[in-house]
Amino acid sequence: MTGKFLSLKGEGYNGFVSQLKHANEKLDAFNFIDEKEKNGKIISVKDNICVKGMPATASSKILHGYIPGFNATAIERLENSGFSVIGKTNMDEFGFGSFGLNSEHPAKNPYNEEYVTGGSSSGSAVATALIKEHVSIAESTGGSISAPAAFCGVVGLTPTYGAISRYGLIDYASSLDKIGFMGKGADSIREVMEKTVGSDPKDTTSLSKAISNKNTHKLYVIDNLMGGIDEGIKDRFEGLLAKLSAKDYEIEHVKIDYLEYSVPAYYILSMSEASTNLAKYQGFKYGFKVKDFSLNYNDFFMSARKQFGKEAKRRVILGTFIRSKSIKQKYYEKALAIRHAIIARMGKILKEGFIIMPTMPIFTPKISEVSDISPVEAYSMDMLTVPPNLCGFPHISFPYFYERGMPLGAQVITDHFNDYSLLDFLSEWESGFEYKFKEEVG
Amino acid sequence: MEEYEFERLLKTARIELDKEESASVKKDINEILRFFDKLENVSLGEEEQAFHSVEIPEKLRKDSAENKNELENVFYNGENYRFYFLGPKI
Repeated sequence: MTGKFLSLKGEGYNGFVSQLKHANEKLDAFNFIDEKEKNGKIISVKDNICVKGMPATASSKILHGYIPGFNATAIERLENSGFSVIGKTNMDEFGFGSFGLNSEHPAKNPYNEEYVTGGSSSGSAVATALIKEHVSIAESTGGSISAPAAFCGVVGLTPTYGAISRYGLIDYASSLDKIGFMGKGADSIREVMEKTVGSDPKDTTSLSKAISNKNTHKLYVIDNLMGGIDEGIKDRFEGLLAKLSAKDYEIEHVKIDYLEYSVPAYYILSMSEASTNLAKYQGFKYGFKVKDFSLNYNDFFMSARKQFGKEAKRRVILGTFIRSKSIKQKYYEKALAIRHAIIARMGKILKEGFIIMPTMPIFTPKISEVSDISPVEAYSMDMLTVPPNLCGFPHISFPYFYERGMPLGAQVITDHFNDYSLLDFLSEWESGFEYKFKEEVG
Repeated sequence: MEEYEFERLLKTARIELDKEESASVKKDINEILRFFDKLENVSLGEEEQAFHSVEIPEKLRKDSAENKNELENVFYNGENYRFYFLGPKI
C-alpha cells in the first residue's frame, strides 16, 4: 500500500506556503518554513534532525544560527525516494519535556489552543494534524512521539531502537533515541518507514535485521501500570477493549515486575547520557558563538551554557552528579539492571501477543494546569510511554475516542523488529473508525 | 544535597546559575533525587546490565586511512582560521 502525500507546483505551492505560514503564526508548529518550491512529496522534520541547508536548533538558544551542511541518513534516504522537506518543527528543547512547553514559543494544540500539544515532538504532531496528507519525521527518547500524537489526535509510530539510523540526529540520550513518524494513517507511515529502515555505516548502532509483521489477536493489559491512571481514562480504555474484543481480540490481564521503577530508571539513564551529549555545545563550533576569546576555557564554556533553558540545565547538573564515581553504582548501574529486567519480562509477554494501554494517564491538560507542576510530577506523566522506550520496543499511538472535542490515544507495543505488525493492527482499526483531524492547510 | 556539594556540582557541570535560579534548581534536584532513591529498595540479584535495549553486534571499520574530504562540513558553522577552529585558550 502507498500513502497519500501533498505534492504541489507553482501557484498551488505558493498558496500552500502562505496558508501554512498564516496557520503557524497561531499554532507555532514550525521553527522554520522553507519557501523554496519543492519537487517531491511534502514532509516536515523535527528540529533535532539535520536537513542540509536548513537551520537545526532543537529549539535551543545554544543552537541558534546552526545550519547543517549535511542530511541525516533518514532524510537523505527520503529525499532520494522523492520526498521534500517543507520545514523544521517545534519541540521541547533537545527533547526535554512531556508537554511541549520547554520551547521559547510553545506549539499550541490544534483542537484548542488553551491545551498542551504534548512533547517533545510537539510541532510534528501539530503539523501532521494541520496539513492534509502529511507525515512528519519525529524522534522519541522516552515518549516524545506517542505523547504528542495522543494529545493532538494523530498516529505516532516509534520504531525498534536501531531500526533507523540516528546519523544526523541531534542526540539527547544515545541508547534511547529513535527516529520515528507521525501521520494520519497506516499507509503513509508504512511508506516512509520502508524508505528509511536499514543499517547505515555512519551509525554503528543501526541494524540490518529485517522488520517483520507477525500479527496476533492476543492483547495483554498490564494491571500494575493501570494504578496511576485517571479513572475517566480507565473507563474510556475499557470501552476500547470491549470494541477490540468484539473484533475477535483476546484480552488477558498480566503483571510485569519492576515496571514501577521504569520512570526513575529512564530518567537516570537519559540524564546521564544527555549530560555528556550536551558537552559538545561549547560556544565555538555549533550555533551560538561566544566571541570573547580572552576568557579562559572554563569561563568560555560556562558562558556558552547560559543559553540552555532551565530543564536542560537541570538535566546536565543531575546527569553529571549521577555519573560521578561515588554515586554511579547507586543510580546508573541499578538503572541499567532494571532496564535489563524489564526487557526480559516484557519481551517474554510480547512473544505471545501485543501489549495495549492508554498512551497518557490523563486527559489532555490545559497549559495553565501543567505549566507550574514540579519536575517529578511532570516526569511521572511518562509512566506509560517510558516502558517501551526504555526497552526499545516498537509502539504505535492512535486516536480511539473523542471527548469534549479533544482526542484520546491508546498505545500498542510489540516485540523488537516486529514493527510492521503495528501498522497492520492500525489498518484493521482504521477500517472501523473515523478519525476527526483538525485539517486546515493543503 | 548540602549547599557546598551543590556548588561543587555546578562547577563540575560548568553551569552558572544566578541566586534565584540556583535556589529553585537545588530544590528541584533534591526532589528528583528523592524520586530516584526509589531504586534503593529494588532487589535485582545478579541481574545483568543492559547498555542497549537490543543486541548491537560489534562492527569494526577497516583499519585504513580514508580521504573523506569532510573539512567543508566540519567547518561549516564554526569560526575558523585555515584548518583550525577559533576557540578559547586552554
